[in-house]
Amino acid sequence: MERKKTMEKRKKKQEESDVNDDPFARFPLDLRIEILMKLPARSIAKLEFVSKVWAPIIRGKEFTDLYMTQPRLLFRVHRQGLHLFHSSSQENPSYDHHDRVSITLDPSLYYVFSPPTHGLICGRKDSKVLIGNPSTGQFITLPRARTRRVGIYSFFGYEPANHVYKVLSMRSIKFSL
Amino acid sequence: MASSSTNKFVLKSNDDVSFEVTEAVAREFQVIAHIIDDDCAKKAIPLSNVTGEILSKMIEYGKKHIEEAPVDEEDEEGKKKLQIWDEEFMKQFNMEIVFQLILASNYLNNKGLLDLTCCTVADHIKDMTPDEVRTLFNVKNDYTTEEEEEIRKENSWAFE
Repeated sequence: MERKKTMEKRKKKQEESDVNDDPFARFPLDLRIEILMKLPARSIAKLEFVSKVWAPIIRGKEFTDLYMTQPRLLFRVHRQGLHLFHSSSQENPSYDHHDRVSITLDPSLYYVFSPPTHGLICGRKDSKVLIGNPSTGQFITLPRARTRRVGIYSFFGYEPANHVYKVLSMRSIKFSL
Repeated sequence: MASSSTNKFVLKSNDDVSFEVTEAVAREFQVIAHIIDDDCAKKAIPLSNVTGEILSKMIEYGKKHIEEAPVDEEDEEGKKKLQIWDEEFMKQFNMEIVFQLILASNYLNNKGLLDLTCCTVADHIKDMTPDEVRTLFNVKNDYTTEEEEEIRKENSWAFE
C-alpha cells in the first residue's frame, strides 16, 4: 500500500516535471541561492549530487560565503580519545533541530585538534592532517607529507587577503640529551 | 494615509485579467509602489510577467497581510496568526505554481511572499534523495560512478 502511494507520488512528480523542463534553470542565480539558503547543511550536501549544474552553485563562493557566514555555535567535546563536534544555528539553537550537525570521530584515531580558524578545524596525527568544517560535517584528509622523518608538526592558518587556508608542516628540532 | 484606503488601482495580468485593488494592497508590491510614486499609475498597470491565476493569489496574499498586519513588533499573537494563515495558504499549490509564485514575487518585489515561497520549496526538497530532486526538477544525473563515489566520500555524514 505504502509502495503504491510512493509510486503514484513519483508518477505525479514525473508528470509535473514534464511540463516544468527544469524550473530551477528558469530561476536567476540569486533566486536559486535564496532557496538553498533555507536548507539545512545535510540537505545541501545531498543536493551536490543532483547534477553538475547544481554542484558549482553549491560549491561557489557566492553561496558558501552567504551560507557560512550565518552565525553558528560550535561545541567540542574531547574525552578519552573521543572527539565530538556539535554545531547549531546561533539564532535559534534549541529550535532548529534539523539544522544541527553532530559528528563523532572514530575514537581509534587519536587526532590532536587545533582551535577553530575562520570556521574550520584542523586535526593531526603524526604526519596525517585532517581538515574539517564542523558546521557542515565535511572532513577531508590532506595528502601525507612525503618524508620518512618522524616528529612532523603541522600548523593551520587562514590568510584573509586571498581567502585561503594554509597548512604548514615542519619537522621538529631533535633534542639530544 | 486615508487616501491609500480609498484610492483604487487596476492591475492587469499578461493574459488580460484585471484586478481592482486598494492603494495599500498595491503598495505591498514594491515595483507597483514605485509606479504609483512616479505618478505613472493613472490607468491600469500592465504586468507583463504575471498570469491572472498567479496575480489573483498574490493579491489574496497582499490583502491578508494588510488586513491582518500585526499591530507592532511585540504583537506575537498577531504574527503567529498570520504565519498559520501563510502555511495554510501555501498548501493549496503544487510545485509548479509555487515556482511561478517565486518568479512573480521576485518580479513584483514582495519580500514576504518571496521568502514564504522559497521556504515552501526548501521544505519540500529537504528530505528528498538526489534522485527524487532530479525527478522534480527534471535534471539528468551527469556524474560518472567514480565522480559520484568521490563526492559521496566527502559527504558521507549526510547519508547516514
